[in-house]
Amino acid sequence: MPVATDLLDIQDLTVTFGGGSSRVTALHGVSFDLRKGETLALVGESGSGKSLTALSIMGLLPPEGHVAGGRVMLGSEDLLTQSRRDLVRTRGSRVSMVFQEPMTSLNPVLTVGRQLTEGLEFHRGATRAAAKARALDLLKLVGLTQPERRMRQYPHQLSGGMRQRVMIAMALACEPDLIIADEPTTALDVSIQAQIIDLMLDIKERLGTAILLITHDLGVVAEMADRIAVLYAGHVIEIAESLTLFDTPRHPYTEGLLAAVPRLDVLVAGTTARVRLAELPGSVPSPADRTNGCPFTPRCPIATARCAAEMPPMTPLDAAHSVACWERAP
Amino acid sequence: MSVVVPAAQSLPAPLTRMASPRRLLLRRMLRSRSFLIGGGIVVFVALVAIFAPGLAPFDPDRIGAGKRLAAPGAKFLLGTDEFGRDILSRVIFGARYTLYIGLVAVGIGLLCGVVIGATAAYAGGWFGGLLMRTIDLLYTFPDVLIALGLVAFLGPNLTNAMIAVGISAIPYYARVTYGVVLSERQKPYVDAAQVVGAGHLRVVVRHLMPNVLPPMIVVASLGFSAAVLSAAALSFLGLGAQPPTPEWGLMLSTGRNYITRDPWLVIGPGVAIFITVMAFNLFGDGVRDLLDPRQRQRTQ
Amino acid sequence: MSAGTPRPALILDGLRKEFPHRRSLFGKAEAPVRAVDDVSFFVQPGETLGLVGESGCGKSTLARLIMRMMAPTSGSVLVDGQRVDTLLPSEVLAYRRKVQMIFQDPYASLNPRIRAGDLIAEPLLIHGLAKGAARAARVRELADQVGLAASSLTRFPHEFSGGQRQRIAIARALAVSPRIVVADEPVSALDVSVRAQVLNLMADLQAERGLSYLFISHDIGTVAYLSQRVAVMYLGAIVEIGPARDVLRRPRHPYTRLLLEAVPVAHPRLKSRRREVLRGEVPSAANIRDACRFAPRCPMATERCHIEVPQPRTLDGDRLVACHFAEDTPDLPKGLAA
Repeated sequence: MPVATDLLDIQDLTVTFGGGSSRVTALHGVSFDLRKGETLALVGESGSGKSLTALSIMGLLPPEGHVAGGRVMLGSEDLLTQSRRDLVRTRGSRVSMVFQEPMTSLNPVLTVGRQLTEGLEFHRGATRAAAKARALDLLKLVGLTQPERRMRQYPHQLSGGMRQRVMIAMALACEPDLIIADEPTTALDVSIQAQIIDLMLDIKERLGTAILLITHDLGVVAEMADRIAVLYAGHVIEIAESLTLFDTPRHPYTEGLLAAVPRLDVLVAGTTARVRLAELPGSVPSPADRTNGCPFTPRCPIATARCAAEMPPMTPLDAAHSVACWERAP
Repeated sequence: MSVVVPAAQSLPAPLTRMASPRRLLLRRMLRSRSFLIGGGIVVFVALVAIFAPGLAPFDPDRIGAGKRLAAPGAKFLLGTDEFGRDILSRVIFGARYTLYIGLVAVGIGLLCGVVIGATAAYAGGWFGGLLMRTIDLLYTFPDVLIALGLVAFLGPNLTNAMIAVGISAIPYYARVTYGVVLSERQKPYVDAAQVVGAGHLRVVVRHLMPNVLPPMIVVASLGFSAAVLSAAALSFLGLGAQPPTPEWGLMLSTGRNYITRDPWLVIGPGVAIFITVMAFNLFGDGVRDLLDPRQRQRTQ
Repeated sequence: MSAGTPRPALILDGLRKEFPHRRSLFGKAEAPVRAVDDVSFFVQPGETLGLVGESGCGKSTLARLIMRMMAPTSGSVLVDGQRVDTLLPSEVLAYRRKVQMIFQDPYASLNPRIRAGDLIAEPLLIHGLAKGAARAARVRELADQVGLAASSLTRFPHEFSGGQRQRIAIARALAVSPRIVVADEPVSALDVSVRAQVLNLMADLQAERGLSYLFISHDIGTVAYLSQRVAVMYLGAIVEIGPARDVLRRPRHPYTRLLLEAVPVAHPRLKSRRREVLRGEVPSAANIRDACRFAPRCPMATERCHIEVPQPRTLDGDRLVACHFAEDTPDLPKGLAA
């Protein structure tokens, strides 16, 4: 893959929390890249570090957290070494974010219209009238009915689905190259989730915006992702094209995760009695559990002594598929 | 006849490898500055009160221990008052009254307030509403005003002042308890308790109270300083402790006649009140920080 | 109802719950909101009935009605042929021994200040089922059955992971040996890799004890895994109920079909299928009285749907559908039945 098409290149991102003896490493050298117009899904469970990765890119880590190493290259700029002012500019115009719960990330005392036009006026220096016209266009783009009326409404007057559409409109306002969507549909009902997924697919197709999708929901991943990076306890453990990952997962955790989700299509098609779901034993480790080895070892069906002692590096199986596992990619 | 024993054995509880909650709490106690400083002074004041007879260089009531209105010096560290009594000894013995007043007043206020507030919040409906509207009505009067009225009714002495201060604080404790119980009783664990068959008494005593009392401890330690101040104010107005009791508020009151010429008469008790009130406020803040569940999560 | 087999463990008969509409100071009173509107179904002994619906459809209110946490406006819940809402106070404890509940969020439904062992022991204590050493032994036995180590019983809930907490909640519910368990979204707060453990545990316990489950969830895949029959709820009413595989393979109510189409695919290969999206959002107030409540969003709605409430009709032998045009509901696109 030629470097020129890389939009975002994250190398060895390490994030720690706290200091002294209670210091906890939450991200252990996370690396992945994202190409222009691509949707990459970061998949992980609680404590996997998927949201922290997003916050690090945006420079929005909570005060106790800090980046201990690595690079976050957006084009030729390292976002981690950018000045505060440049970061604010990048954040508004080149990368934007859609959060899980739009109610908490929208300002409750400003109208939807005001929140939309503010960004345009600030980042783009647009006049009031121009910003308003653009805001209306954006609301139409994200499929909101009665856009003029929505402009005058406050966030609490909208439903959850409509709020998420507004969030997406705000994210699109400055035509960013990259949208980071952190669990964008988790708080929504199935039918609304489907609407938002379709909207994001449509936007990606029409505007060519790259999406970094952060989720724990494999269904949403299957619907949206071109490529998938699986995170476990702060490590990227497998990266592959979406189809490859679903068809031939190589990491035992990815395998287990895929097998542990009841598949509606299989259940409905099946003619025999219910097949028992495959279980992953144990539970997700907490970032406070320290190990030099692979964090999946205690739950892994194929773990060896080496796994407990040494973390396997990401090893390419082919051009597009890498896995961190001693047994599967020695 | 176990179904999933293998899972049980291989289940690593992520948090069990960490320190026990008690050790964790201790560690955070040692890290909280306001808790340490506030708690330290509180303990110091309490020790002074307990060992007052041993610590005080003079009998606090002994008239003419030195000459009248002597300035602070080697013999009388804080000087003497208008009757030649040693002010340091009186401040030391005053700590006893102050802590005593605080404990009794907070005890009365907390006990009645928690019962009223919890009943109103748990019962709800018109009864709870009526109870709380009554409390709200009382809350509109300043505590000191209520305490003044009560003392005027009961007669001015230290015991009545303590009771009055305690009663005047009931609306405050009742309102706080009401809020805490109201938010706790909406939590699913209360539903869960009812579903397994727990009756009202059990839900309140076994399930709600252990979750309601810790925040109330914070409120009480903050209320302690308010009670000390109110009692001092009553004594200052001549409605609380009566001479010759070495009560700090009363000492301020009698000392104020000499404030321009012999300021040490008010400096001793004044500083004592200030330090004690500040210590309890710090201590309360520290306890609140320790019990704050968000903070607890962060340390996990 | 076709219940040729043994007497159902649980019957809901025309159950209705209305909440008074909040009245503004000078506004005129509006009609009350019907959170649960004329719901009737049964659950057989040893059976799992899955209840599917989106937020606000009334499925949690239904659970609360069954658990006697609120009283119905009309209609009744029957367990062993006995009406639940008219139980005497002295009979309520006996009822609680028959019907238990597992809550959605094991982080909130376990009292944070009570140790795991005491939480499991509490129902035994309340119901006087075991004393002293026998009680402790019973607690260990229950813990063992749900896969909790006996050594962990002295810990507080926050020291457990989400999956283990839900095991505590299950042990607590099973302590009184109930025959019916209402499970309200029991795995949706858990990590994906842990859900299968809890679902399998529930299936095992059912097989062992002949439990009946009313399994409430918004996640259709989970419901499909555990349920023999499925009921679909929309705005307070059951719009379709029948054998799980039939309903999910060939939904006859247009809402069921659109809901199934909205479920994300399980494999990226299936995503090319064209999706018919359920338009609009669930209206907030359920005050459609003289029409099909789904009509405003239904792609098949005709004039009749706006003036006549569709009554549940039997279809394909053992399915009930509340739609005038259930026969015309198109099949799901091929993709889903992969």
